[in-house]
Amino acid sequence: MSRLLRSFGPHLTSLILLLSGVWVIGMIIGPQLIMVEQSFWYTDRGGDAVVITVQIDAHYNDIDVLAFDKMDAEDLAPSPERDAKIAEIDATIAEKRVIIAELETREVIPKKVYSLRNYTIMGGSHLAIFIKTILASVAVTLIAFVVCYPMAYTVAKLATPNRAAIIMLGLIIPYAINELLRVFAWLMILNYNGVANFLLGLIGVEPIAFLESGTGVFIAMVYAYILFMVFPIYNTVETLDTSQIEAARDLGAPTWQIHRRIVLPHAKPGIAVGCIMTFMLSAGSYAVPYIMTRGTAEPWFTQLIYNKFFESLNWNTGSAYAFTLLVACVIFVFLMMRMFKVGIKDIAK
Amino acid sequence: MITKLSNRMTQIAVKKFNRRALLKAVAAGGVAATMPFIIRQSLASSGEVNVFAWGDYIKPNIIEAFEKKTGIKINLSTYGSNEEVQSKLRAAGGKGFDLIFPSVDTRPEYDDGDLLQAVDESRIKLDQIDSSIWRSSLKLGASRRGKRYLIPFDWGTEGITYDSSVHSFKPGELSYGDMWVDGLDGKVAGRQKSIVITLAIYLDSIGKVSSNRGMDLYKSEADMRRVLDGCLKFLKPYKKNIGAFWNNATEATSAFTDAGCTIGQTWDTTGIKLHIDVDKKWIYTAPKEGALAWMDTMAIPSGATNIEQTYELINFLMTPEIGAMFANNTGYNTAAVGSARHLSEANKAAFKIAYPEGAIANMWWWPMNTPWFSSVRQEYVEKVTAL
Repeated sequence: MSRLLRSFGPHLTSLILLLSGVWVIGMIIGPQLIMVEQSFWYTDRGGDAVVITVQIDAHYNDIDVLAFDKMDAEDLAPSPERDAKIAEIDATIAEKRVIIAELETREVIPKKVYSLRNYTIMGGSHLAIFIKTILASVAVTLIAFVVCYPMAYTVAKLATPNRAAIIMLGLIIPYAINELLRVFAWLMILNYNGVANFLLGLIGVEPIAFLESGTGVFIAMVYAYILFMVFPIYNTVETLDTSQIEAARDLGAPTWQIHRRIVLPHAKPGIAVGCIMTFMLSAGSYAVPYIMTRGTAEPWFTQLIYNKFFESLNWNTGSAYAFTLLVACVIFVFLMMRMFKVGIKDIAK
Repeated sequence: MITKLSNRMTQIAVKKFNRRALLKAVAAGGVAATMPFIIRQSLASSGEVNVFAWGDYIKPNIIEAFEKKTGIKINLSTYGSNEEVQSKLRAAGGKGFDLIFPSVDTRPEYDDGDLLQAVDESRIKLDQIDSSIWRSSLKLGASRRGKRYLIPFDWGTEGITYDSSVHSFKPGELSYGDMWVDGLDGKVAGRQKSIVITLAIYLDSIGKVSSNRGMDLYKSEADMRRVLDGCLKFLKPYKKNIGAFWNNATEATSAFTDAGCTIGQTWDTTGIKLHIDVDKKWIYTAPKEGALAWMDTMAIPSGATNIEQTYELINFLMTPEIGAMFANNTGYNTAAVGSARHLSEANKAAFKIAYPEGAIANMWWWPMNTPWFSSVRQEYVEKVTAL
């Protein structure tokens, strides 16, 4: 604090503190607090009493229609039928008003109730989807690691500088394209009438429902998040002194021993960061599972959260679901850090 | 690599961000903040109107015609579902837009937090609006306990689109049940949220699950669950028929053009556009149990700031010429009186195929939402998906 003051002077220091305060409160604490608060209450509409509200509204609508018809009747030429009609409408409206008055005495005004209900009402089917989403994200992370580790190692240690640059360029170019466009490209490839099935058709294979089976989600996700795994691993492997690998080889270590004893331990922080990023991105992905299943396969948990907010219009339960996912992700991060024995400082490097 | 890259970016940003830029920004903010309240107020209503409409509703030709006639500028944002506009309005406390186009049955969703303001009927040219549609809108929830919030704008239906080179149906014989027969594996399209409704109507019509033509869904939560459980039980052996679910017009079209479906539940415009633009073999028609009919309306959010201009726009949209321009643009049916003679021939022809004798009188209008409706329906949407 005093160092900050010494380096920047009182004005700049207070500006820095103010901006970081705005950042921390406005971008991190504020939204989370609002969400957590939302998740701890629900609107109590009085159980079965809600039917009364619905009936009152319907009677009011009837009165509006009757009043409309009455205006039509009043436009008719004066005649006994016209008067009778108007009198009849008036009588019906009066009747409805009596019913409404009686119902309104029993109507329950909705009230806000604080409780843990939003967390406990998650049914078996949603819990299953939650667990499935976490497991699927772990699987995506594993696949991405298996694909990326050899790639990162090759670029960092085996390839000539020129070739390494070309591989890097090849990896980066697709990322200059918007994620959604890349996912839609995969949709076109894997569609029932798509490119993949066309090619399979040439060798006489029946069309495969890639999307409906959920395979498409895995393919698109691994593709979409591969870079987030490659770069952290590449960064750490690159800092490994090549002479260590040569020394190990000179002492007769086989390739798998070199990787197990030297490269992997050195790359641990990079692997941890890559895994955390890939896991968080896939567990929190909404667009990829939505587009790549066309709504026919089981949804991901993120889609359930979206639906709670935007289809059921139940923001409270939606917040509880979102908070649950957040907690699961945080637990995963700490597990990864424990597993790879890396601290926050290593990751920040 | 990433760190190197970001270091470079930071350097560029630092170079760009010099003291002069900061001073400029601070000065601009200061002026805006100290500007007298009245001036800001008049700026906000100096001839513009913020419209939040369905993606295909307000096309450039309408904006142009309005700006030419009144000099008022339209700032257009678009949405794709009722839930989207509800959520956005609720998040902003009813502020940000002057005119929205909610479906008439969804009005109760705006009651919590009073997100809409009552309409001043004296400022609307009522004779421009079809009176039978006006009457229906009252029944369907355009008013809340005697106060009007919604003004009818247009209507359309959701029925069945099919490939007439694969299926053949006699006019007026097509039923919702025709999608749920053996031998249609992967050939049926639809959206879960209306499939559950049409199943209820169909099963009621053949006497399997009685629901008073679907009205029991709106009677009480227990009744809704009883009817929908019956629908799920019926649907289970036919789940394999479903080739694609859709949630918006684009997805509905690609269900037929890309996913290989040959019959399915769609909006009228989806089927009619497939017929006109893609292939004459696609036929849209209202099933004999009645097409699902929706009505969209105009509503003014409670936080609207450009009231004058908004009423101006409402009256403009309901003139016969603009009503017809809208109908020709979109294929929906306008609520504006006297627009029929401005309709295009293609539009008139498509209307005839879509609605066989008696189909208009037989339509099933979405009733007013009840507090349990959205969440229970979503529950069953998920159950249908997971069947």
